[in-house]
Amino acid sequence: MIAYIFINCYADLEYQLAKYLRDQSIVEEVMITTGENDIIIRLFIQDLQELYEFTVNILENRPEIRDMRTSVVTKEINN
Amino acid sequence: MSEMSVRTRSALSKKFLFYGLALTSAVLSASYVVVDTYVSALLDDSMILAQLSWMAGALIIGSLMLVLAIPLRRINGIRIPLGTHLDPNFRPFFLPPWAVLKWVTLSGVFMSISTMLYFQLLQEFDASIMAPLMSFTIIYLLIGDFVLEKDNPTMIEIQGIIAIVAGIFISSLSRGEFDAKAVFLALVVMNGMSALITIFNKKATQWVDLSTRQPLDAITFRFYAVVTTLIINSILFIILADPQQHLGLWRVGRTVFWTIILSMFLATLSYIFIIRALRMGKMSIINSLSSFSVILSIPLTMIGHFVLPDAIPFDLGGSNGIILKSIGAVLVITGMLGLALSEVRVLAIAKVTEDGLKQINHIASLKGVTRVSVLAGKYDLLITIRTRSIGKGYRQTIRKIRGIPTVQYLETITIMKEWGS
Repeated sequence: MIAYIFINCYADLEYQLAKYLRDQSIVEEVMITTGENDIIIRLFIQDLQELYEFTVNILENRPEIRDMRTSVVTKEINN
Repeated sequence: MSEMSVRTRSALSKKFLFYGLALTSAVLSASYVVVDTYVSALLDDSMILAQLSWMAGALIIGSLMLVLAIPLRRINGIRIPLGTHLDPNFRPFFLPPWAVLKWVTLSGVFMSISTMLYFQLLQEFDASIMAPLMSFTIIYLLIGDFVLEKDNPTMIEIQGIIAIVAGIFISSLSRGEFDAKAVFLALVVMNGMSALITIFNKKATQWVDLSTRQPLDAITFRFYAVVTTLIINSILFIILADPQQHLGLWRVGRTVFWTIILSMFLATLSYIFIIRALRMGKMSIINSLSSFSVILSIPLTMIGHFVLPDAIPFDLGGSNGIILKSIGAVLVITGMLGLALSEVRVLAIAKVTEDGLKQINHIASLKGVTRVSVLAGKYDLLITIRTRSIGKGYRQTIRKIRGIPTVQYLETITIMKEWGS
């Protein structure tokens, strides 16, 4: 399964968080972005349980994160 | 978690890794062309050289595959093979489906013919001229992009093409004479086949295993490409070569075999790096960066000529020759950097009506769209766009998505920095 997590950080902490996230084994892409969110990550997960464990055990313990929103990919077309 | 789903991640920034792979590949390419020049001086039969090369290539990639399959460490209790350091998607002894193998086979046919022509041309040109001639493929690929994507080139693309073409021709002319037949064979025939090979490789690398979301890894890809090419080349060799050449394969082959092994080892590493880079960026950019081998071939050929003056020719053509080679090199670098550094990735998140989800194939077919993900959550679609400039992305993609009646809301996001596998 693929999922995206849209993350907002406290000021000036997005780079520190991005560097931490890029080393997580289920994180496929880390993008520091303009717009409403500071970071968008793309995850490769086995099931929803793995997504739950990642968000609860890893992301919710990170002090840089102000809030986040998760979206699971239900279909995808790659060119 | 199953074994298939375990992948390692690179700690390098995606852009850095992408450029690093392409440039390292260029260094290796320039090196093996110099070694091949030496081999061509020892043995002037292009059919035997091509056959020996693919035999050596199969031996190297087969051995490499065995070594890289050795499990060295564990992640979450699962043994990870050594090969994941070269390519995080590496799966030892994986048999890809026919959907991939058909592109590998087509690539093998052209690689076989191209190799014979390559060794033939090495009799005509030294490595410092051969490398620029081989880089002409980029022009075909860029033009292919414009035609297939119904795209108008940007000014930076036009400047890049002009600089690369001028640089290649000036480098080629540095020896003070112009062999029209050899240049035609190199520019039109060999580079035309190289462009087709690159397109077939790109098609094969686009395949994704739906059960694990993993693409075909570069090492496995190279293995099947070399084995296919060896089979096709062997058939051609048996049919086209005369009995003297059949005997010569074993008799003279022994004298150059280890040099060919070195050349094919460098070529194998170069190939693995380029295939991995192909999955991370546009093929025209990768080929631009690979053209760096043009510059490297000059000092490497000079060093080779200094060490083995009889075996590795290097025609400076007097002071004018050096100036022409240098101007050509600067032009090629200018062109390829202009192309390489002018690409950006943009995301667009959208809300659509219920019928809108039926439009995702149409959105995916738009110019510059590399991926469309249907999301469960606040937004319905996440669209990834690769474009040469923000303006071009807006004109050719964003405006068209906004024009779709079922798209109710669209927000664009520029990626400022990214990392990826």
